[in-house]
Amino acid sequence: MRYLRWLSLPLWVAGLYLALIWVPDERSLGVSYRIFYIHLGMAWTALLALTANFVLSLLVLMRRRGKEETDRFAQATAEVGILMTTATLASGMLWGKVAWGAFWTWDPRLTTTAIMWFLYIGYLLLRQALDDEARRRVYSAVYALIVFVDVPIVYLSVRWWRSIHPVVFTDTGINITPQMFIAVIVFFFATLVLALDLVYLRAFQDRVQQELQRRRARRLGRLGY
Amino acid sequence: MLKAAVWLFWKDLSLELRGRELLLPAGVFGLIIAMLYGFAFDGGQQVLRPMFPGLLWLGIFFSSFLAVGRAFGVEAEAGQQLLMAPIDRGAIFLSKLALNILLTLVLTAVLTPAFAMLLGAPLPQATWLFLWTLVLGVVGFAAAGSAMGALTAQTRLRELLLPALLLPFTSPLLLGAVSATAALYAKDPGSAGNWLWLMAVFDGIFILVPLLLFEYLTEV
Repeated sequence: MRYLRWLSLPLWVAGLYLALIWVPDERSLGVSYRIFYIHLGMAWTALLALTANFVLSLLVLMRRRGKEETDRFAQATAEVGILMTTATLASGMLWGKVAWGAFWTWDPRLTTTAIMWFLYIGYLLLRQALDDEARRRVYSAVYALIVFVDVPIVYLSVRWWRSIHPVVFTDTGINITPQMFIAVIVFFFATLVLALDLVYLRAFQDRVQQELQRRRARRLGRLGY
Repeated sequence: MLKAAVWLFWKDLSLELRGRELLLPAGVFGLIIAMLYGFAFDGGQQVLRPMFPGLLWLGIFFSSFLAVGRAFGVEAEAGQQLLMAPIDRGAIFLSKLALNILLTLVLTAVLTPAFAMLLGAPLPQATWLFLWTLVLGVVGFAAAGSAMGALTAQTRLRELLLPALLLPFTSPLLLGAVSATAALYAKDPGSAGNWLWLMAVFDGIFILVPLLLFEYLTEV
């Protein structure tokens, strides 16, 4: 997994080249739309990370073995998911200011993403507030499952409420040229590989932290504390 | 499981009837919200009328939130002795859910007319549909509140954590309840139907899912 990092860098360089130089300007939006490649890649990666968090949380509850390690990855995917969601929101807001004239509109996707962001911030807050490790594992897994079920309902409700976000995939096919599609895909893989690398790095860091705490406790115990 | 749930519900209800520790503060808080709305948005004006559905539901959610958060907190403070009882764990959740539904219904029954009077807005003509809206909105909030209450009961900062988890979570319910109520004021009250369905789905899912998962919470 440590080789992911070396794959991520050329993918990002290629993605940036394709998105910023290779593809032509868009007819009505001009140069501003180029942020869309980063935006879409991050948005998809965020959804994948949070879906992975759901699956891992399910495994934490259902499997008897390896709970500790599964939970570690659940936490890592949630954190990376939040990071990617934040980047999606930030890039979308910048683009919205140029294209729509406002940083924020109450469009279903924006609103749903914002609510989702709050829900997963809640996941981290809950984890932080639980001291007992076994309890933290199970409680945060249960929370993750309930929240994951809530997200489609949030989307449906906000969609009924109102809508202006551009839609890339519709029933009739893809709404972009083949050239743009290539750039989108490359950028998506670049963010995905970066996200995977971050997840493994975070899990590794958590493992190291726990080991250090264990050793420290043992040592203090030997010194008679 | 049902029998145990009824007994537990009865226990909590008699506690509440003796002490009135939840309804009284939550109800007073709701009335204070109505008064603050009047100050903040200049209650003498007609501007509050079109905003009434939103103001009413925010008032109901905020004051209910005080009541539902406590249901599991009581057990956590008692040292979780309830878990030693030889009963199905689901019964504990069901009893707390029933208590929360009852409390929030009573709160809503008091607050809705009070809000209408203080904010100078008439209640919708379609009485039955309005009652359905109130019940579906309140039951959903109580269900989600019970689930989140169970999750936060064992944490440090219980009271601080609950709103951060519960309020974003119930946002589709708030949207549904406000939109349905607003639709009842329109010429065709039937347009509230979709929103009522949405709330019913929310209620069903978040009664069932936490009930299924509650067992896990009691094992650690």
